[in-house]
Order: sequence, then C-alpha cells, then structure tokens
Amino acid sequence: MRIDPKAHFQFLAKQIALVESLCRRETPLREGEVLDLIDFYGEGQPSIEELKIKGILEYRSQSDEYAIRYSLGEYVREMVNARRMIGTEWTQQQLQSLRYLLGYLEQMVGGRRGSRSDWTGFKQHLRDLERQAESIRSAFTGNLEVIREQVGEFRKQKPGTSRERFIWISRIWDEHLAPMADVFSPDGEWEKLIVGFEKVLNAVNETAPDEVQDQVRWVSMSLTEMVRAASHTHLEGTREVWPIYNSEKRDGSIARDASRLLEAARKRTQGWNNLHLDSYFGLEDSRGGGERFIRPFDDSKLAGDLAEKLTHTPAPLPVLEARPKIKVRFPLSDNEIHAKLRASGGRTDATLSWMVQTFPDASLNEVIRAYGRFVLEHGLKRVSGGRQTVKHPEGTLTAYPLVLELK
Amino acid sequence: MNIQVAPSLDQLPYLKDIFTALRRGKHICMEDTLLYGALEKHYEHFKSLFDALGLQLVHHQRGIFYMVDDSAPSAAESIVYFMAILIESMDDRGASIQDAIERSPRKVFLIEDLPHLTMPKYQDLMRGVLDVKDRQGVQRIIASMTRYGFVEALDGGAFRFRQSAFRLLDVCALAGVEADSNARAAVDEEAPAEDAKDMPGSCGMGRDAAGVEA
Repeated sequence: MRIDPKAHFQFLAKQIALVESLCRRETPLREGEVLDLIDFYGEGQPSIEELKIKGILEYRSQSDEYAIRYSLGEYVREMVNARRMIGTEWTQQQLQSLRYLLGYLEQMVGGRRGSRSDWTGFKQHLRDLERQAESIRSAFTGNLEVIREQVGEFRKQKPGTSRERFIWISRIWDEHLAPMADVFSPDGEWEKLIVGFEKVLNAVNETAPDEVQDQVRWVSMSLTEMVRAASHTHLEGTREVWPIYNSEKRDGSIARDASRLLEAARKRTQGWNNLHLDSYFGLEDSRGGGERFIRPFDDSKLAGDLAEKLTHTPAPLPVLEARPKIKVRFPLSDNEIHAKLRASGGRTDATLSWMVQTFPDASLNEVIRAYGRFVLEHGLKRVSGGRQTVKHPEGTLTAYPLVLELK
Repeated sequence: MNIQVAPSLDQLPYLKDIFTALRRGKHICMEDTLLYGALEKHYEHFKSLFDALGLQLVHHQRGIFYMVDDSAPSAAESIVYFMAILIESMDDRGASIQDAIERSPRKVFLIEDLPHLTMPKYQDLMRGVLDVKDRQGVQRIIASMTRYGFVEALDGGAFRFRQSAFRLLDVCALAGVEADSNARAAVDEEAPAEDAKDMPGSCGMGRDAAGVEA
C-alpha cells in the first residue's frame, strides 16, 4: 500500500495522542482493544481502516491482531522519550540493550561468532549501537528540559500542603533521579558498559578495514556524547530537584511535628506543662536572672574579673608523693607488761604467751630481752605446773611455771 | 585548665553588647550585622570567655548564636504553641514556614490575620492551654519572641521572622516528637487491659466480665 508522506504526517500530528497510546502497548492488539483506544484518544473517531491507510497500523493476519508499524513505533517512542521523565524501567531497558550489543561485539571480536574476516555483521551491530546511543542521548537531553519545566512549574504554583508538595517532588526524585545515582556511580553499570565498549572498539581498530575504522570512530563519538548527556542530565537534574526535595521534606516534617503537638494538647493526653522544654529550650530568661551579670559588667569590675580569670594560670598543685605503706609497729611496753604480770599474779608463763600475742611486731630477741629484764629485776620462785610452749614467728619459746615477786 | 585566651579583652569587639544580649536570652543572627560579625569572627574566643564564666554559647548551623541555660524561660510554652499553630495553619493554606523565615522580602504577619484567635479550632487551644483570650495576650507572646530575637516587631502589631526563628522550628519539632511519643505511651498503657479482655480464651478480667460496672 502506497502511503502519502504528507498525508501521513498530517494525520500523525492530528492523532498523536492515539499513536502514543498505541506505542505504549508492548504486544499486538485485538480489534476491540484498538477501538477502545480510538474511543478514548482518537481525534474525530478515525476508523481502523483509516489508520491502516495512513500508515499507522499493520494488520497481522496470522494472529488476527493489529500493531503499530515498527519503524513508526520506534520513531514515536524516541520523540515521546525526549519529552518525558526517564524512569528506572526505561534506563534498565536501555542498559539491557547495550549489554546485549556489547556481548555480541565481544563475541565477534573474540572470533566466537561469525567469520573474523567478514565485517558485515559487525558493521550492522555498530550501526545498531550508534542508533541506540543517539536515542539514549536524545532522551536524556529532553529529560533535563522536562525536569526544568516541571521544577519551574512547581516554583510558580506550589501544590497544596507540605505533604502534597513533598509527594509531588518525591515522584521526580525517587522515581527518576535517585535510582540513577547507582547507575551513574563510578563503578556502576553505566561505567562498566562504557569501558567494555572502549575495549572492543580499540581491539577492532587494530585489524579492521578503513571503512569499519571510520564507523568505529563515529560510534565512539556517539557513545561519548551519550555519556556526556546522561551524566549532565543526572547532575543538573539533581541540582534542580535536590534542594526542593530537602526543603519540602523538612517543611513536611515541621508541619507534622506541629500538628502532633497541637493534637496532643487538644486530647489532653499531653498536658502542656508536661513538655520537657527545659531539655531543649533552655534559655537565659530575658526578664529574670539574666540581668545579674549586667550591672557589675557596666562598671568594668566584671571586665577586671574576666581578665583575671582568663589570664590567670593557676599554680600547679603541689605534687603529693604517695605515702609509702608503713606498717604500724606497736613497741613493747614495759608498763603494760608489768600491769599484765600484776594482773596474773606474777605468773611468767601466762605473761610470755600474752606478750607474743599482744606485740606481734616484736622480734624474738625483743621479747626475750623484755622478759629477761623482768625476771632479772624481780625475785622469782618456782611454782607447780607444766611448761608451756609459746610459738613466735622466729622460733619456739618454752615458758616455765614461775612467779615473780613484784616490787 | 587550658583556656584559649584572646590577647586582650579589648580585642573582642562589642563584648559588652554581645554579653548583654546573650545573657538576656537574645538569639543573635546575621541580621544583627555587627554583633553577628564579631561573634562569627571571634567565636572561639567568645566561647572560651563564656565557658570560663560557666555560660554555654551555642553556634547553630543556621547561623544563630545563643546561650543555653538549664531551664526554659517562663514564656517558652506560649512561644512553642504559638509557633505550632502558625505552622499548621500556614501548611493548611499551602504556605511554607521556612519560606516565611528565609525568603526575601520576609513575609509580614499582621496580628489581625493570625489564626490563633480567628480560627475556632485554635481559639480553644489558646484559651484552654495558654489562657490567651484576646489580642493583648497574643501581643505578649509576640513581645516575648521579639525579646528573644525570634521575630522583628513592626508597626501596628505586625511582625516578621528573623533567621533565628529556625531554632524555634527545631524546638517545635522536638516538642512534637515528645508529645507524640507520650501520647503513644499513654495508649500503650491502656492497651493491655483491652487486649486481655478481647483475647480468645482469656479468663474474663475485663471490667464488664468482672461485674464491677454491671
């Protein structure tokens, strides 16, 4: 069927909403589905036959279905992409196509597919790659314009409450810009693909005939432009949207907290006196104690005090040497021994044992000397009874049953 | 004690003015050009000086200097609720409180346009919670906010926010979170009894089951 280009484009312009809706469908459509779309999007209710004549639809007799003509579909999608927000799904689709092309080129260069000397297939894939790169570049460039338009629109007339505004800006940020951050990160998928393409194209350039080398140069340039456009769009889009996103997020959070506070006050579940404002709204009181430093400061006394306080370096505290651990020693006391002897009726055996227990720090010699002094100074006499063994840390003493004749 | 000391107190510009303002609880921001400039340039020295006096100088990330104390001022609650009402009502009308503080020229608020006494849902709060019933009561709150440097008073009872009001937003946020968590805690405290009553196989310890209220 011969299609008149002028009539085709005129019809396309008139029915662009319908054509776009047809392009959005991934699979062929049944007649009823086409009629539904015509009802909804068609300008002046064109017939299916008219859509066929004007080169929009193709009939597939095998399956009794309709589909938009392939070349037209590609063309319209590219146009549409250039004026819509690019989402994660679309980007992943493009990455997948590029991955496929890279894999195919790598296999050809590695000699695993087709003949190494036959460059026909390779050239075809280079053409596909160039076309793909151009399509992506165009989409990203258009995307930045769309972002700017939308942000401008938002600034001009902000929609509703902070919550509504945040939802609006989040849609751009969360669905279009934030997911791209991973894709465009230095070790992201994007970078890996570009490095892969560079390797393949460099490898080809060493052995390919001149015409292929020329094509490779064009493809390399297209890839460079694509990368530049994508990165630029992401960077500039982020610059446009991120401050608004943050500001609206903060606005939403402030409004939510204020409402919570008021709601609690209304319900009286939170008595207003129960707010612990001291912990986060502590302030000098403009009417109260805040005045107390002001007057002395006026007559410069405080200035002097401040100066002294700031410039005075306190003398270092004297270093106290740690006191050595001194064992308190209880010296033998003749008076106490004498008193003990008297209390025990002059019995020396009991006194010796008592001396060792009462003066544990006294050496064996000291005990013997003190004991000896009493024995020598006083007369003594033997009495009945057994000998006592007295243990001292330095030796064992034997006490005889003696009684001193105390003076 | 290691104090970073300015070569001389004379070299701390506007020391007396700054000291006086901060001790009165004023929030100094960029609009206080001279004082703010001096504080920003000699922040460490001022901070050391006030530290030595046992006073805590804070430099807020939004470019605000203020002194904190252990207790909130007597006007604190009124200011917080006043702000919360203003924030909520502005948000309902699609206006941003941040814009009102930050945008140039600043939004001017006229006292007769304020929602506090004109909207019934806020009138109750103002009366019940703050005991503010009339224009004079609202003016007293605005006067407090002016003294603390949160707003700039204009002729005829009008006012506009200063950059310092960003601290108020922080305070409102904290108060809102606290109020919300208190409300949740109150609900949680009530919940177990209800749960027990409704729990399958429970031994019927609810008020009705026990016959207390029967």
